[in-house]
Amino acid sequence: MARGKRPLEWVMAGAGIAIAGYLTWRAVDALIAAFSQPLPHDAVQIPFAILASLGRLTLAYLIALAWTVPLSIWIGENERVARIVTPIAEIGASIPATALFPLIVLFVIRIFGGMNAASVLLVLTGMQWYLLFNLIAGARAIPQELKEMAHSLRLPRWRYWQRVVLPALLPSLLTGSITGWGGGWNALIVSEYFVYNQKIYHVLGIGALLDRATYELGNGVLILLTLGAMVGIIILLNRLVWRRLYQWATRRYRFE
Amino acid sequence: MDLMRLENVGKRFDTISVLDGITMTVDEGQFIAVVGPSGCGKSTLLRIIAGLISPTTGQVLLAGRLLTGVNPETALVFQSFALLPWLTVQANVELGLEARRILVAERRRRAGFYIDKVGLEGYEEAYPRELSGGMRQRVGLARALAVEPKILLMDEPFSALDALTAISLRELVLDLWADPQVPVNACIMVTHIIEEAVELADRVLVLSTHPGRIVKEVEVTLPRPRDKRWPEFNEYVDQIFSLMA
Repeated sequence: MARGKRPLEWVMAGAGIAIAGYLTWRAVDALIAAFSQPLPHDAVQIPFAILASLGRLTLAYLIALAWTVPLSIWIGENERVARIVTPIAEIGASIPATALFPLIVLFVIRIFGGMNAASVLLVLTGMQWYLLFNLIAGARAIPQELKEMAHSLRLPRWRYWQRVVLPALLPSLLTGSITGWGGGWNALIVSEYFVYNQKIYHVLGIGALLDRATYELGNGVLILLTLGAMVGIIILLNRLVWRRLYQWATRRYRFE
Repeated sequence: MDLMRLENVGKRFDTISVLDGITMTVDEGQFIAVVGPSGCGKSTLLRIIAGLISPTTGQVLLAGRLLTGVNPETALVFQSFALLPWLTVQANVELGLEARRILVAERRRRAGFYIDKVGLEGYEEAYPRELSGGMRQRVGLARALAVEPKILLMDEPFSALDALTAISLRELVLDLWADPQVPVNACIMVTHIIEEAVELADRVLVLSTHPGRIVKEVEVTLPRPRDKRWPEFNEYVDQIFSLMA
């Protein structure tokens, strides 16, 4: 058979290029039109909103670490605890985080009076299960002979955690962190802006800004800027922090 | 005098009897091998001696006293080496000393001494992944020896190694056993390789399976180093083989 493309393929490829070109031209044209006007007033908030959202995610992450790390170590050392906790955690994880939000907001706003606390709590529900399940898998994958070795050398408990368990958990901790932060960003967008009974509750944050640009202001430029900033910061975090940490951990802290 | 004594020790896991009626002594200066088919409970027996598993029936006596918890007079060498990949050779060997709150300088010195003894001088700062299997097991030996146990326990220590490496490691173990600078008073090795037991041990305990019982104790009186081509060597091997079959 002759090499090269048949006429029909040439026609289809040409049509595809023409359509793509037209769409690109329209998009660029619209962007130029949008950005040639003065920037929307709320755009100056973006850096602060990003910082505030990062603060919320970090706080939720620390809370998640504070309970998932000890629990998974306990589960890893105790088969009976594993049998009790695992099904409970599976039920908890299977409830979509966003479904809980109205409930959380009503309770937390009533009790603590703070939308910030509600927001962090929702980000936590979107983040913690990834950490928990990865850490449990990591803790249960610690080879039995390593546990026996530590036991027979009579390593004190905290020394055992320091020398054996925590290093062994590092790769799964990082996998859990990367997916957990993904889930956290996801929850963040709905967690910072909430409409209940025609009243809007919101905090300063990139998720809230995106929601306001969409639902209140209907400002395409602000939506694009907010999205761009969010995507930028997520990619930056992944490239500069998580990927490097993960590569370092899997190089150094993995069993052969 | 016996260092340790097991009296009528049995172990059940749920309804399965793994070990039954094990009575044995660990005498000063003896190298004991425990042989048996796989699943005969010989590794369980070693873990009972190490105090990692408590027996269901019977008792373990250490210098006449009932053993509860981890046996402080033993150190274990594992089939899979059980090294921490994130620690250097030096830090791996120091692990047991760290647990005993021995001062840093003394820890360094003692770990270095046993690293030299197993022939790993110059590899102190290497990580396990940079070492061959044989070298890793040398680290495992040094780590066990560094806590200066009276009784050295080895669980199939050469099974994960290729044949040539296993030969040199067996020679190393015999050298260390004969070395007056190494204060090990007794050695218990679990193996499924009969020749290995006859080559190394003064006494071979032959275990049956389901449940594991001591079928017979065979005293090996050949002088060391022993040669597999000796007719007497092969008589021992045949005798033990027929007990296991």
